[in-house]
Amino acid sequence: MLRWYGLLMLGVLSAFGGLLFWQVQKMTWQRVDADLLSHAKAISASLARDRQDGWELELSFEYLHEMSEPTFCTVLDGDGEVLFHHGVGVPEAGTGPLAVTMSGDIRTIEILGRDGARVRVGTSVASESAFLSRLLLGILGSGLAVLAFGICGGWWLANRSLYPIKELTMAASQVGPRDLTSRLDTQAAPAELQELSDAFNDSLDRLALAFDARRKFTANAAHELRTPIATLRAQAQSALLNERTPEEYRETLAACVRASQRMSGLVDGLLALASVDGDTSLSDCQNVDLRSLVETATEGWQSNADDASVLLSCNASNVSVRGDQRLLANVVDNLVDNAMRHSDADGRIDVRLRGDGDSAVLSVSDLGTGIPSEALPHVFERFYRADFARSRMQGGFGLGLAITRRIVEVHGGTIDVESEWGRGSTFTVRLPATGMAV
Amino acid sequence: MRILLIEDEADLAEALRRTLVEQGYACDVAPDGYIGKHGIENWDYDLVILDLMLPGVDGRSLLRLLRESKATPVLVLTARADVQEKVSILDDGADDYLTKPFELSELLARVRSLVRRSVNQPTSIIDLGGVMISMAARTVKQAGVLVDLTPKEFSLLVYLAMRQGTVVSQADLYNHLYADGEETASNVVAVYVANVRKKLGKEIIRTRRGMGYVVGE
Repeated sequence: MLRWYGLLMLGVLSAFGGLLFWQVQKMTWQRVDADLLSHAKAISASLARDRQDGWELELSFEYLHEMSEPTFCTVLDGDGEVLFHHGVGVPEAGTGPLAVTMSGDIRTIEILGRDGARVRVGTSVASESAFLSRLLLGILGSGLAVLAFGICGGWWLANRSLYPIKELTMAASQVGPRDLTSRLDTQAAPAELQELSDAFNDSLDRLALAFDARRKFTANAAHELRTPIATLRAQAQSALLNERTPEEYRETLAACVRASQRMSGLVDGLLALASVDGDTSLSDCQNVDLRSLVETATEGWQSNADDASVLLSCNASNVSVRGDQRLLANVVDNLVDNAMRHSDADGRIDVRLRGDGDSAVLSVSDLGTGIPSEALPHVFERFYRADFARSRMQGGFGLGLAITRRIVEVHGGTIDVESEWGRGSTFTVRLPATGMAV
Repeated sequence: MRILLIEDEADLAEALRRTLVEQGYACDVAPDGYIGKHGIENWDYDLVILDLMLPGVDGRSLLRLLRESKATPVLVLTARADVQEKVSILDDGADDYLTKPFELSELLARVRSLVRRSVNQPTSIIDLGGVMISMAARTVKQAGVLVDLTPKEFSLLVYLAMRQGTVVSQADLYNHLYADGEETASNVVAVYVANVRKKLGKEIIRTRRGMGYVVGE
């Protein structure tokens, strides 16, 4: 980078210096030439032919004296014979009507006079030449100095502005899964980089949050699995401590089965969550007839509801959405399952599907135990169980609603809950609809 | 020895309760924090086994409550095995902890250890002159010969032996040998004392009229 900058500076300075010198030189010679020309013209005007075909030059003595040294003049006739000469200086041959020649330190101008006569005026331009030489050296010298200074200055400035980038780079390279707590010092960065630093810090915040959530989730999952494993082991070891009756063995084995079912259920829930978690796009997307999906899913719960003496009703209008059939069926299942868990005998669960504007609205309401207001903001969190004892007893893990929410989000929808402790709850899912009939 | 087990996972609680009872302990089970709290406040248990993952009252605050009110040793069951958790459990006042899943034998050994500690019994062998009780092996030897005692008889003897020289009332004995809800005859303690005397000789347990029983002295 610096190389280009240096070359650029060199180019610019050279051009400037060159142009400057050239202008000054041109002006200098122009002045000298103008002077010489006026002399030559004056002398040419004073040339006359006398009666014998000779030449006569009427130049006053004063004029000649006026022509300051080191100027000289020479008049030649058509054949090159010197007719007149004044001053120190060597006459030089020229070509053309207005020839300017320069040889060493003498600059000569020659014009054609009458009858082929030629008038040459020259002068020593030693001082001008010296001046120009000095000027050239001066320009070169200062040019180099400016170049050097410019390069140094540029390098320093570049470094200064690069330093925060270097810091950013160093800070960024230290960030890893183990340490997501370090943040860049945005105060120290110059204005242009502050936005970058802020953006970087923001991503780190989001990453840290995501990592934290992951860590907590993994810990919770392992944690949840440990209890059924402990149960399994304790039951089996306890049974082995003594001679047992077949009935007792049966009991123990049944308890082991329960524990394994619990573990299996937990693993399934975790896997379901993991699969919807990773994907933000739906892999199997089609147009889904939500009405038939909801009706079929609800029907699946009818026998469970009958067994529990819960009245399950379904009222669905014609709406369709784009999405994954299986996942959407999961949503309905999870919500009805949740409602069932919260409902006692003689309870009531209503499943409704309707179109509203450009959305499909699915609501599942129950008249069961409801959710306490402190628990309400947390119900969709993983492993959260509002009524711990009840859900434990029923084999719940607190994952159903978390999975449901994730599925809804992936479909571009929203899910909300309204509930009153002791009176029941209503879960409402809104999804972008692709078609509906009123 | 009467143990309070605060555990909400029914199958686990049952397995532990059965094992502890078979080992001669009396065991009450509290299925949630509220009942556990109630039990702790109203009774003097010899040991509390507390599972930290509890519905209702949070296990940790229950632990702290225990620490503040009683000197009862507490064995904590936790699913989290990381150092931070262990440190904070111990700092919150637990006397010992076990991470799930655990070996039953380890649980029993730790229970024995904590019970010993609660009566300042440094080793698991109690020497009552001619009678040697090994709590770890759950055996009683008299003059080197193994004597067979039922679990309840063993418990009774151990309870008195750990309080060698102190008179223990019949009521006290009863409360520490039987859990809530266990059906017993009203003179069950006397019956067991008689049984032990039959097997180990009359001098092993002395009666202090109107006060209770004592071993040793």
